[in-house]
Amino acid sequence: MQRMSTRTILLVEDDPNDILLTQRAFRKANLAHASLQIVSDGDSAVFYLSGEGKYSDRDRYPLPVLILLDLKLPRRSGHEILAWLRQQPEIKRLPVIMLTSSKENMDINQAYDLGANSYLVKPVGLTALVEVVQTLNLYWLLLNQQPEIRVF
Amino acid sequence: MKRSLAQQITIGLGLALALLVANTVVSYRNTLKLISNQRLVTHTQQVLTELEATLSTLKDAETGQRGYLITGEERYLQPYESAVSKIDRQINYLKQLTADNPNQQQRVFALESAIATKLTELAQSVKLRREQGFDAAQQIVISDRGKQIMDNIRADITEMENIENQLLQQRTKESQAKLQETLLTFSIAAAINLALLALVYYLFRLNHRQSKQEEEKLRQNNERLTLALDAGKMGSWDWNLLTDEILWTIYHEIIFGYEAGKPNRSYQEWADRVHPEDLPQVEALVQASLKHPQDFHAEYRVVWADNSLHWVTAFGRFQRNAENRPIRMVGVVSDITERKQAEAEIIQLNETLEQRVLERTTQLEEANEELQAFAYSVSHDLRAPLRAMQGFAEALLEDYENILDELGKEYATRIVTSAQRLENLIQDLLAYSRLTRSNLELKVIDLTTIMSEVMTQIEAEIEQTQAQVNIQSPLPKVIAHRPTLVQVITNLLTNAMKFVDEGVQPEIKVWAEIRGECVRLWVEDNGIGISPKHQKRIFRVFERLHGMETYPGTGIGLAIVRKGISRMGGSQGVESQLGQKSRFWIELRRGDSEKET
Repeated sequence: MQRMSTRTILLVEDDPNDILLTQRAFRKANLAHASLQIVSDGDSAVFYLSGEGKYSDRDRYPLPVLILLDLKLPRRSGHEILAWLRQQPEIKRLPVIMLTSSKENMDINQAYDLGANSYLVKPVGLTALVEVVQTLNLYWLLLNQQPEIRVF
Repeated sequence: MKRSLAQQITIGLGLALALLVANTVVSYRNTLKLISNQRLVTHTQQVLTELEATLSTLKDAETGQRGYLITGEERYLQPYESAVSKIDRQINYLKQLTADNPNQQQRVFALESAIATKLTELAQSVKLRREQGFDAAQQIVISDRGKQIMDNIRADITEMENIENQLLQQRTKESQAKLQETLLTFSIAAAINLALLALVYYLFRLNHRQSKQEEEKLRQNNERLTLALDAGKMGSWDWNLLTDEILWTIYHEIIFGYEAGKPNRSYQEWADRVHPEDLPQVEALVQASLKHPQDFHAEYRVVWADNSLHWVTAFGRFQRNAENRPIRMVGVVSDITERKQAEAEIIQLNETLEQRVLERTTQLEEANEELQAFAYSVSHDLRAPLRAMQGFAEALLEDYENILDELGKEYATRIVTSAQRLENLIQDLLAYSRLTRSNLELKVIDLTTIMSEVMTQIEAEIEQTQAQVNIQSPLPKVIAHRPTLVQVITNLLTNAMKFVDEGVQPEIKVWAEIRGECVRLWVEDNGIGISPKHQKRIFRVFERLHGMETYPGTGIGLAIVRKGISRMGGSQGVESQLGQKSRFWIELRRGDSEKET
């Protein structure tokens, strides 16, 4: 069991504007037990999750309980990261929420096929974004029962 | 029964021959009879001559005796003596001549004795003269006995002559009659014969003419057949199964790549030229035609000596005898290489056409994929900076509310609304492009449930505009794509709420009517109306009739209606006048038509 105090959410997002706005939304949402970690390309996400390189320092880069995954990313797409993740025996159960601007059926269906737990379209407007962050926190961090993740 | 001309000729000739033979026989017999008659006539004339000669001899004897009696000179006795010596011979001859006639024979005997008496009387008188002299002899003469005897003899001979003359007359008559009869029968028979021969000749000529006509007809038929076959570049074969002889026409030889001029061909010569791959099949077809009473037809390849390939088509038929045994096979063959080449070309063209269609399809698919990539890019990449613009403008308004003055706040607000407008525009464009690209699966849908779904979606706008929406339910079923239909009706209702004069409460009526196999859904408003000249334009993309300040919008709403309805196989329209209410309608196929239920 992890300590209740800090729960890490990993945001995989390459758009600095979106990163900034999401960080603001997290601040505004005033989350007590969640901290946000951010990687801005596909390879970094994989390194973070597998604990490679600098990410082997789990004190600084703790394993997340939730991943917010964009689809269109440099080097490795969100779909590819998802597919990779579901192949990893230790962390395959990590909840993944797609957070993207695409409404295309193809993208949505593929994400679910690869094992996404949820699919959200990036809202327009600050208020909407804050609401999304608050809802995420409420549902996925507080209500949702976390699967067992083997720590290495 | 009518006999043939040839039979008639034979019969005529036979008759003529029989008549000729009969005529010959009859004529021969008549001639024989004539000859025998003539002989009898001659015979009678001989008798007559002999009788005259006998009388003459007797007269000579009497003359000699008289001379001697008068003169007493011995030299006068000479005629008498020669007569006496001659008379016996003459009598005998007469006997011979009359041997066939007993009556005359009797008379000859009587004549002989009378002559003997005369001769005795003559001899007595001669003896008396010589011995007793003239006077004694004169006495005998004067006694007139000698004259009487002589008269008797004369009478006898005359009688006999009369009889013979009668005979002669009779025989001559008979001869003449016979001659005439013979002439007559011969003439008649000859005439009939001539007539018969003439008839036969006529028949013969007729026959000749007819056979010539038939020959001509046959020749024409043959010529026609040959012309037709040649014109069609067709060869023909005639296979006698009994003798296994096969006759080919020149064209047949040409088609099979042989040098023309040898009409007699063997089965092997045919088989040699048939493509080895086709031969078994063609032979099987021949066998099938042989076994079952069906015509032979085959299309097969022929390989010439120079290895060139030629397609032929052959039609044949077996001729059967009375016992239904095939005795002959006749047929035609023609070269169809050009046709086959054309067919092959067509097939090839078809294949290349398919290839071209495939290429085009691939190109179209590529274009479609590009379009999808474009749409993806629009939805993802274009909207990202938009979100940033709006987000940061909002952040300014919220986080730095105290620092910004009213003008600064208005500027930030304008950024927010502009971004929102652009976001709407992009959303509508994406919706429109999705309608164009995606396959719409059409199902039977109840309009009533669609309407309640629409009402839920526009709840906020109804609240905001205080609109009155009056739906005449229940509504019928239509064949449509649910999300598209929801979007279409939503667009119509939001338009109806939007385009009203300021301060007017929107009143919207929705009802449906069944028109044949279709359902027409009406949406009537109490809005500003549309001039007829604009009624077509409003269904096009980006067509707007009003400024952004009066009636904000993207100009895509009705274009989505039109595209969505057309993708569902329906139609749409509007009835309106400027300043009056508008009535929009959409028409879709009925979902509960009599045909389907």
